[in-house]
Amino acid sequence: MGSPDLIPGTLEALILRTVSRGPMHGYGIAQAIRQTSGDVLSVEEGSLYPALQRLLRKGDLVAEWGQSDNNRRARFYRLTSAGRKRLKQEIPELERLVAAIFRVLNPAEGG
Amino acid sequence: MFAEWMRQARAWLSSRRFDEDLDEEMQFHRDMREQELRGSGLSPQEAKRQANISFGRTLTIREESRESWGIAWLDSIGQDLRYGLRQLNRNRGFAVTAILTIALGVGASAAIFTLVNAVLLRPLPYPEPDRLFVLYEELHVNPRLATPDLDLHHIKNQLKSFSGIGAWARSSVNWRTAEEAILLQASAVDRDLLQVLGFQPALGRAFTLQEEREAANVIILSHATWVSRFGADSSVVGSTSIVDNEVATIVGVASPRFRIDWRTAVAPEAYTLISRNPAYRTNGQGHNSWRYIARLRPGVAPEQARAEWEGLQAAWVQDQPTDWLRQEPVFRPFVDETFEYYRPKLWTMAGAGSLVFLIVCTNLGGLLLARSVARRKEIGVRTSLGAARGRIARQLSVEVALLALLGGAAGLLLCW
Repeated sequence: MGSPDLIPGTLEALILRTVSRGPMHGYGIAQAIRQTSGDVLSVEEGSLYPALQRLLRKGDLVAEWGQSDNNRRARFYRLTSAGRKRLKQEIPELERLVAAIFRVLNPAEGG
Repeated sequence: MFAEWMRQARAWLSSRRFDEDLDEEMQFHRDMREQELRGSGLSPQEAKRQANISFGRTLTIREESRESWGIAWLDSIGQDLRYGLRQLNRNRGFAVTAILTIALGVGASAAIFTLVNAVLLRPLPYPEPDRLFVLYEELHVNPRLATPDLDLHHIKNQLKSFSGIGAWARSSVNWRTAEEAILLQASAVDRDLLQVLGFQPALGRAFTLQEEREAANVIILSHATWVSRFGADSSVVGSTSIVDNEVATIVGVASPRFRIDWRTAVAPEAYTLISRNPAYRTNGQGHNSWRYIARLRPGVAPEQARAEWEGLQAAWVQDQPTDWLRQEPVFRPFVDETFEYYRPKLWTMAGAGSLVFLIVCTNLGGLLLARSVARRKEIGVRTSLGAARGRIARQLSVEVALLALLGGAAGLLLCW
């Protein structure tokens, strides 16, 4: 199980992408990331909540209390328009970085 | 960016709710994880144990979450302040000594500076005060003795270098109210003087030509007197009082900083007409204490005006018998004439004030030094418990700053 913050800022991007599908609480976000990554990426609670707070501070997310599936009170995070804009910039940037890492690890020609 | 500051402020202000919310959130997360673990086959106790372990470090998470808001420094300064206050409370002797010392230094300096500012640094309350000059005649042998020889009206007519020449003298005014009779120290002036000095009444008006001709008993109050003795009552303008069978009327109030006579300890409280002095109306030769203030015409150089004044006086002397006691014409800038009285005294005060401040600083330095020696053990303990040097330094600075603030506030209060 890997930590998703090998490239700094990755975790925030993952959170934003996850929440872009609809409001979610902290546990749901961690679960979604784990499941979607095929159990490769696991988000430590110790990094999840500080990251969520950072996104709240920057204004990319807003939080509201609501009811979870099993009727318990939970705090739901929602993407703001600023967050949506940031996500649109972050995704291609990360893709570029990942592709670059890949190229270095698997050079196409020569050795 | 501004929106972010607002969010940060809100987070800081509602810090208790922040912690409660986060705790509830994390509890929910923990419970969900426990449920998940149970679902995957673990026993309830095992599930709970695992959920709590993997969650672990709750306090650390709380701290880090707060830190990501970038407002943690406010909290730590708050801690330092509270600790500093407790420390000062426990060492009352030291605190009181230090605060009083600072208070004395600050109070003395503030008082002296206010005085210097009011008198020396602020400009005179007239338009273009450097264009104002004082003219008079002085008997070389004994400056106080003689009366001016030249007729004031003659001077006013003959001198062309000035746009206006006015006269004033020290005087006093009797005023009787319903309750009491008061004596006001006054400056007797003519209309030309008020014009030369750019007099603007705060209330009412200046003297009229008619009043000057008739030597009417009209009074303009100084602003300070109007406030203190007459209660800043605007109906005072136009009110009359009968003194010595004569009716006196208040026609105006001067603006707050206006003043003609700067050499008295207390500013004159009223202005009257100098034309009430018979000498003014007849030969224009008042007592030697009279002063003429003249404003240079635009474009005229002071030397030119001086030459003209001295020339006028010399021409008059020509016509006198040879055994007549000659007076010297004096021509000085108004600014110099006014402040030569104050300057040496104020420099002395400023010097004394600086000395006091120096002594205060030395005392304080000694006190703080003694105290820091006494606190070595405490700081040693702190360091061994893991406090960073920067943090300790900041905490000590906050303590000293606290002292300085309290002392400074006390000093300003003292000075008031």
